[in-house]
Amino acid sequence: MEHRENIMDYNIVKAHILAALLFLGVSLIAGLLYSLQFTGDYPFRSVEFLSPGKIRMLHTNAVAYGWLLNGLLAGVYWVVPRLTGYPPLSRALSWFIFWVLQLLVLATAVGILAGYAQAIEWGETPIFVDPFITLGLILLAVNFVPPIIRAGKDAPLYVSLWYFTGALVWVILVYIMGNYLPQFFVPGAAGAAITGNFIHDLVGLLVTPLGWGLMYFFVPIIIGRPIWSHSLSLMGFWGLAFFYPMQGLHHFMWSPVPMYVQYSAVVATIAIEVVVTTVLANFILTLRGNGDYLRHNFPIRWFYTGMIFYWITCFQCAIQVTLTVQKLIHFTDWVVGHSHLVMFGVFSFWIIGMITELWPRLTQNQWYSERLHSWAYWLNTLGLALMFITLTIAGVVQGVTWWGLNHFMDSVVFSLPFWYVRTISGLMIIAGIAIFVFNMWMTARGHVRDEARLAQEQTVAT
Amino acid sequence: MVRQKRINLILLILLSLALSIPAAEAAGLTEAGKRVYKKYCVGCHGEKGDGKGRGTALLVVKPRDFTTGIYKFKSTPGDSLPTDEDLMRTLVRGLPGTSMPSYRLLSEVERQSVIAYIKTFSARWQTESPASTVTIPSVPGYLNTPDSIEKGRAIYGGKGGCSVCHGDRGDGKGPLWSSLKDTWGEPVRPANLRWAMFRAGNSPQELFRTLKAGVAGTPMPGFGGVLTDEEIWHLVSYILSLKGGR
Amino acid sequence: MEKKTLRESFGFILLVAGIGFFVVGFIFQMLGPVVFLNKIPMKSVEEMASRVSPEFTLLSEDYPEEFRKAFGEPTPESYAQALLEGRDIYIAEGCWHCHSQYVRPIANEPLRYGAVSVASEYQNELQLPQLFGTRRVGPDLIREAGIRSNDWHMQHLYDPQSVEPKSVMPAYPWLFDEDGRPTRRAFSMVAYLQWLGSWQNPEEKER
Repeated sequence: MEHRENIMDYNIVKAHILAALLFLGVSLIAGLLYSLQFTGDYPFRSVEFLSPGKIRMLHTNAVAYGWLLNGLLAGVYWVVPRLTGYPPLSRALSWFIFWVLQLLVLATAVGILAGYAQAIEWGETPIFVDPFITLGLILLAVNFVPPIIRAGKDAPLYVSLWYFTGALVWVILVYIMGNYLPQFFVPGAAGAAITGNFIHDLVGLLVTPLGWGLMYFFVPIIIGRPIWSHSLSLMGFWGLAFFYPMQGLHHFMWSPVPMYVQYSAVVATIAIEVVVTTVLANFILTLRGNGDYLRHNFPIRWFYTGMIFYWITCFQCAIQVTLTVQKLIHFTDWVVGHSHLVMFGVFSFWIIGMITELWPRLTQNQWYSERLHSWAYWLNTLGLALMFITLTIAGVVQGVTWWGLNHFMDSVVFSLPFWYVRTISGLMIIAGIAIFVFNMWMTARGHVRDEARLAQEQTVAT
Repeated sequence: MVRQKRINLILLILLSLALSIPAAEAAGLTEAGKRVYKKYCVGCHGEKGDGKGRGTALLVVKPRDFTTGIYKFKSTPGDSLPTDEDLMRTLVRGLPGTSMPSYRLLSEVERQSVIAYIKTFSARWQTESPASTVTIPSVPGYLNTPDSIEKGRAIYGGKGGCSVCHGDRGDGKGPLWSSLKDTWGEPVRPANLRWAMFRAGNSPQELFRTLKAGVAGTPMPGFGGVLTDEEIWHLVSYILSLKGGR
Repeated sequence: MEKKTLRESFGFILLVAGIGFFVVGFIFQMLGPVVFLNKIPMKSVEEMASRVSPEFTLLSEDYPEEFRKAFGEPTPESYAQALLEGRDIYIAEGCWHCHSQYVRPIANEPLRYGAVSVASEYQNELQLPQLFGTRRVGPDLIREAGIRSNDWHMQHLYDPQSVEPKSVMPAYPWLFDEDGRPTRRAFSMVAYLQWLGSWQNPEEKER
């Protein structure tokens, strides 16, 4: 075990978690501000650098690069040394990457607010930031590939490491493809084929594999039994690797992009739903007989809730991607609800669950309060469900008014009630995260709320 | 589309039924029109219908003042009130080249009701009724023939006096172009005939109507009393021949 | 020691899953369209601006003093500049997140917006990167040219709710000076909006 302590760097895990939470805060506030624009209550109406369009880009980019990447990297820094038995290439390099990442996220935020955004969705990082991000991603691979290679020399690699290997390579390729080709070389419809794939690959080939890699590590370790089926793990990984790079064009259905690309994107997207179902079955069967964990173990609860949301997302995706359903819901709030379900309901839940597992170990303290965990969980889950449902219905309403040839303003006026509910659901999520962070803060300071005693007193009183 | 037409027809029948029961239903229509007005029109035309809404500062062609009952694009001559069809046409097509957009995607009932509401802004609607509309004969065979265009050119520069405002080249820059004002004291620009974007419509019949009825509230007179129908058709030929030039 | 299999080795995963599958996807889903659409000649801004649009000329008549200060005369050169700068504002302000730029052949969109979009319309410098858009909080804009007047656009950018009472569009007063008169940025923005779809025959349009 001493050996393990030496290869672990707890501080970098902690640093990534804190940075992630900081940017999560930024993006939550940005999201709230943006939702206020829709209800006519935007507070900074005549401030140029806080223009709502820029706030939206701040929201999505802070989520993607500030919160998800930081949060997932915290997990990777925890998992890789434990699975391989070797530390990342260099501790100094790890810290260098950490500071570069934070600087780049900040530069992106400032660049967007100053009006230098790049017109590529999820890649609004200004053009002058792109080369540095590419370098940073290459450094990231350089840092993590050596321990994986060394571990692979004398034993087969564990599932998590397949996913990490894939993600480390894919993200470099995806980033170069998505940020340079459509910006400088490929215009119009062909450029849309590339950016469509970039939008999707950033989720599917970076966030998803890192997230599943973490799940394959944390779930068996917490439950204390191995993953149910190795074959299903294999199927999940290779299915994802094969089908994900082919489905991004479903973001531009019925567009002037050649139809064969659109058809094949539909097929690949529906195929991935089958793959996802096998992965989910694998995890459910791993939990079989241990359902109690969902009630008592908060990390497991976050993880499995995220997985259920993931399955809903993918099921929804398999339906909404068809050319038939696209007629109604493309360009509507339906899609916005879908993306919140993925980015918050799945990957953010997993990261929060991971922090729930790791934070006591990182601070050497017991969690301050179990009850606050419960509050955070229910506020986030119900808030997200509310947001998803309201946006989905709003999407159908908008689609119907467009299709029915109503005056365009009808789609706005009819959406207003849903947009109010969306703001409320966002406030619930913010409250949930605030409670979670407060809990973390008290834990770090070493406070513990003796809730067993409180509960006992309560039962005695009743 | 067929189904849409059938629904429109049913709505129209219902509407005409509604209109045939005067007092109560008309009030309901006006009330509905007020809601439509508040949703789409109030920004420019204003709460009082005086054309002084919130969004007029940057507009070059100022929004219509409904309180005077004077409308520019209509089929009745002079300052007479327009017919409902005239107002409906403006709502459906908008006025190209001005900030009046098309409301063709509103339902027929919504448009009818907002027209009913607009009429409440001017007392003229209670006391007067629209004059008889100018008759538009069917398009003659000689329209657009070189001979007709030549005759039209002669009328344009001579009897019609068009070039004083619209310019010799038809580019809207005649000697008087920068000094023209409308009834409300706002500057108006003669149409640039070479762009062929006419506010009341581009078809020969629509041009004929504009020439014969004039544009009320502006220096553009109706030529119904000055030119014969045949001369107006020659003028239409000439104006259409200007299209596309710079 | 467990038995080592090829499919669980680093090299195999890196080469087949990491690079191999990605390249297959790239060739099939992206290189295909790039090769096919490359046959359509790419248009430069100068080429497209060689014929100044009536709307840009009208801008100089609608706001003569401000236009002279901003662009001087409506020439092909100043039009090209205005298009480029307008496109940059369109990107920087995130307009493309709430307005799409393609008309689909379905859901009555040709009736609402006009002709269905085709690939050749996008093979130009102003669609680099493409601005297909992602959401329609506001209407599609690819058939916008000539549908509305310059002054409507100006007023709408300055204060959207003043002309469209129920709109949720943000105001862009910083495109105007302290007196609310248009600056170079406002002219560029309107020139760009009036360019979208200007290659179409105006008589085919209706809204």
